[in-house]
Amino acid sequence: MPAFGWMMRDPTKKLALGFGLIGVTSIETDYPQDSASVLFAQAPGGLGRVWSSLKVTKIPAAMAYQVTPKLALGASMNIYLGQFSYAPLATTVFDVNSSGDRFYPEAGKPSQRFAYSVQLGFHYQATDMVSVGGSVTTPQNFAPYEWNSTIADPLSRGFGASRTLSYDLDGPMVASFGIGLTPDKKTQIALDGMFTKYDGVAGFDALGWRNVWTFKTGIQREMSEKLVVRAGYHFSQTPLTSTAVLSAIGMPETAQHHLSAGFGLKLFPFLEATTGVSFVPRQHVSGSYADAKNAVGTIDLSNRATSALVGLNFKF
Amino acid sequence: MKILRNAAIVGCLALVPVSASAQGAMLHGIGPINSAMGGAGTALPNESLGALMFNPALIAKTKGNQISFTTEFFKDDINIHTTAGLLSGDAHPSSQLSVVPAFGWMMRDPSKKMALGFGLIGVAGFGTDYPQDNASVLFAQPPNGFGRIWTNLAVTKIPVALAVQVTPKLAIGASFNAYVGQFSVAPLPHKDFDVSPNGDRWYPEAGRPSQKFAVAAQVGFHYQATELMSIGASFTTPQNFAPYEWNSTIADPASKNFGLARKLSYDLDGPMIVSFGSALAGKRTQLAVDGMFTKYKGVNGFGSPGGIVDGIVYPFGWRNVWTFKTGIQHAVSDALTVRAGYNYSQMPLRSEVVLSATGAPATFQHHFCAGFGFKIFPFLEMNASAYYVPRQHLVGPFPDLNNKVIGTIDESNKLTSGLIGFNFRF
Repeated sequence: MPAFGWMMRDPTKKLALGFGLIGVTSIETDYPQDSASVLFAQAPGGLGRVWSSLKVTKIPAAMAYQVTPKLALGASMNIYLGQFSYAPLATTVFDVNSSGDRFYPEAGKPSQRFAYSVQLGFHYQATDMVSVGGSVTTPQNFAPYEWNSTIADPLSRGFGASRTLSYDLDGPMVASFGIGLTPDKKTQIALDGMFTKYDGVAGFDALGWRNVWTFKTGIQREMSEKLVVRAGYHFSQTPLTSTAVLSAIGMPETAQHHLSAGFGLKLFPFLEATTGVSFVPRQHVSGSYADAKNAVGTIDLSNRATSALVGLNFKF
Repeated sequence: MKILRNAAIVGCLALVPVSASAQGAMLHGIGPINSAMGGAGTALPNESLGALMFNPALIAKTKGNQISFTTEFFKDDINIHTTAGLLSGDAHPSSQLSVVPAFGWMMRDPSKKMALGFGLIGVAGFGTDYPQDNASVLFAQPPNGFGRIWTNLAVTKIPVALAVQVTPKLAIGASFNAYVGQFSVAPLPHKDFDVSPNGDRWYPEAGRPSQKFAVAAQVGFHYQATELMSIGASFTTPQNFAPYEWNSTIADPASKNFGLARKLSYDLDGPMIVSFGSALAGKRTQLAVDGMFTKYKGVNGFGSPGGIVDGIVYPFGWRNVWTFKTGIQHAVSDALTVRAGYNYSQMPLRSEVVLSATGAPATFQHHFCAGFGFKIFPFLEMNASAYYVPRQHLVGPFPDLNNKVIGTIDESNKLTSGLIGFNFRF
């Protein structure tokens, strides 16, 4: 998941510009068919083999203005590039055989759609030690993803015949706010809150995702002129709900506690190499397992994540 | 009808992903500067992406730091016309915009002889997306035709380069290249298939992108023969990816095992490349002329025999490719530079096994390129370019599984692309 960012401000001017290409979302699953699993048993008894992929890249073009020595305002126009696959796509389009069994068609080839949003923010330097900031990102309205697909019932005369699938999956409004503390020249602390509004967002709403509050904190300290160390903690509510856990198998976002650390090493006056790692311990979401009509059991969905990052930071 | 069934299934060769735009599976040039010059520049120091792609020795030729950040947007337009007996038809896959980003950085301390470079470069990418179509012999409903087919291939090169200015005239360089490949093909028409009691074949899907890595070494030199003229060359070793693997299922719908788990794999490696060129560089005008040899023969996947061998479909079946490139750039003013280029590449596809290329329609030969760079600040240049590859055709026999010719296939493709990027020097 690559990311590139650039910002510039002429020291004699009040206007600043920024540009980026940032991978912001990457969710993937790859479940083999497994007769030992109720969920992934051979269709139509189970869903059979399932895989999914959602990747979203944000391309912001930003502008900011130092209104007063203490207040800066900024705005960016964000373009989003989304790629989405889900095979089989278990939603409202399916085939039913004479026994009443359902067969869901595949939406495999990554479908690509664009969206845009506006992001507005401010930064206020209240004192030498304390600053506050906030931003709002408007929702992202992607055109519905579309796929060439086929009739899925293997015993139907139409098996393999053409059909088109579509699924509308938009992006949420995000409000972010925080406070920055500089207790001494070598130490910075950040405390943030964030609200992500999935309720009412096409696609995520149908998956049963709820709104999410997030708390973030981080600290960085200059150990020497060359070395900066960093640590952070991030708590996010899971957007998944126990009443819709079955819908979450393609996007098992159970992550809640993020433990992070990293450091930066100045290789040259203009160049810093940075690295970081984060670990998200396993979290569970449990709920009822329903067939088309009634609850027949329970599902316990859990996930964990380990991540490493490396980057170069140029200042000139 | 049985013949047609077999023929249509063989047509699944069309399903294998293929080239981005030239030289087989690779882009003809990287970034708006190199691309506008037809991909030429093995002997012309210009910017980091061209150097990291075609000759690592060039990173020693620029003092200070240079960073390129670019994105290419391209769209192709495949058409497949098939005739089999009295039946004939055209197939047009759905097409969407492909986006290929690239990042390059090179640096040399002006007081030192050694230079470093690093990049993250999308070098190959392709996708096909054929809907099931009863009007097409190839894509008719299975088992009479192949049905719905899609493919996807994306390869990213990550070079870490080192170069030394050995003498005032000679620079040598080397890079260690890591490659990330992502490959999907659904269904995968090769050795693994199910056969129903009446002899119909059913190929399983390899849909979810499988990701594998490879490494290669690249060595090169640049020699400044006179103040005006230089020569350069580089050699890239083959890339040996681990076989791509997928979770898949039994594909015969009449089988009681339909939908049960199976594993699929396909070995698709990368070719050896030799690049060489000459450059003439005046104060405001630079001219580059290059040649390139890409060795697909013997490469797993691309270098398969192609066609039908003992009743088995072999995708690709590519031949080796020679490429000619030339480009010119002229500084119209201190702020504006204009560029133009032309690239001719042999087709890796062979007409005798055109069926093996149906899903790999790398018919691209003539690339007409142009672009410009505009200096926004002393340290920042914005570059943009575009190129056009006119439609080229490949026509060959349409065989059934017994290699009996039952008709003809005419595959054609064209390409339009735009690139934009920023070039920092400091």
